[in-house]
Amino acid sequence: MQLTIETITTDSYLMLSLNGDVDTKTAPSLMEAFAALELASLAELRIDMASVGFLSSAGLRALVFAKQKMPASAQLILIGTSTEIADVITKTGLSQAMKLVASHDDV
Amino acid sequence: MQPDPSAALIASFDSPASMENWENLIGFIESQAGALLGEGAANYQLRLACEELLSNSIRHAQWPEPGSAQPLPHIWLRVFRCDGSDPEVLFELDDNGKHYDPELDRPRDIHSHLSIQERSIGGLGLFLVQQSVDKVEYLWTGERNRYRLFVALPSGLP
Repeated sequence: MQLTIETITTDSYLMLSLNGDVDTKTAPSLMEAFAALELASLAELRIDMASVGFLSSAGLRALVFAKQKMPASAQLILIGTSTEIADVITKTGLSQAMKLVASHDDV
Repeated sequence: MQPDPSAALIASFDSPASMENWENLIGFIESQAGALLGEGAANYQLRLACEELLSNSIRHAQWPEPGSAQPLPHIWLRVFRCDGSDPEVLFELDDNGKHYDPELDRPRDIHSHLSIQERSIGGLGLFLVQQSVDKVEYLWTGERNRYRLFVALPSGLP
């Protein structure tokens, strides 16, 4: 499945809304989207994961890349992550570095 | 060669080891996993393990110079159903790339105790393979790398 990425900017935060699978084939486009952001100056980056059906290690590497480029105090927030994807993030110990919330209201 | 006397070959697929064939390879895995395991965690995790191994096979494929007698990089997939006392499915992934034993029986340290800033960006794929299926084996057989992924069949499915 293809991946579409929409960048949403508000007064208070920046959000990437993803739709599709983040796998070996599509993860490079997510990396490109991250690389196009001024990550080093962000205090918060939200990623809407509600329409993501699959995340492989290639997708995890993209998330780690983004978090490493952000200030240590900045928050990377994943919204609406499926149970299966949340399990992968937890297994790899990356849930310590990212905030997983069910909906936008929980941020 | 079948894996054991109780295993029945259900389906097979093969393809050049290239990203141009990615959707076909993943499509085969998805359709077989869906038919055998239904929707849910086991299906997702099997796809994840297969995806990580296929990604490695394609990334490390060595394409020969034009006119070379070296075989073209290729991937073979086979799905077996094992109807023993503990029914399970077996997904076999073969590639004819360079012999590489990923030591899948060895626990992997992904340095999860480190902070995100200190962690390496790589090394997660084979860890996820180990974590995602009930048993995983590696063989070097017939000039091929062979990965064997076993997943218990959920009760209630045909």
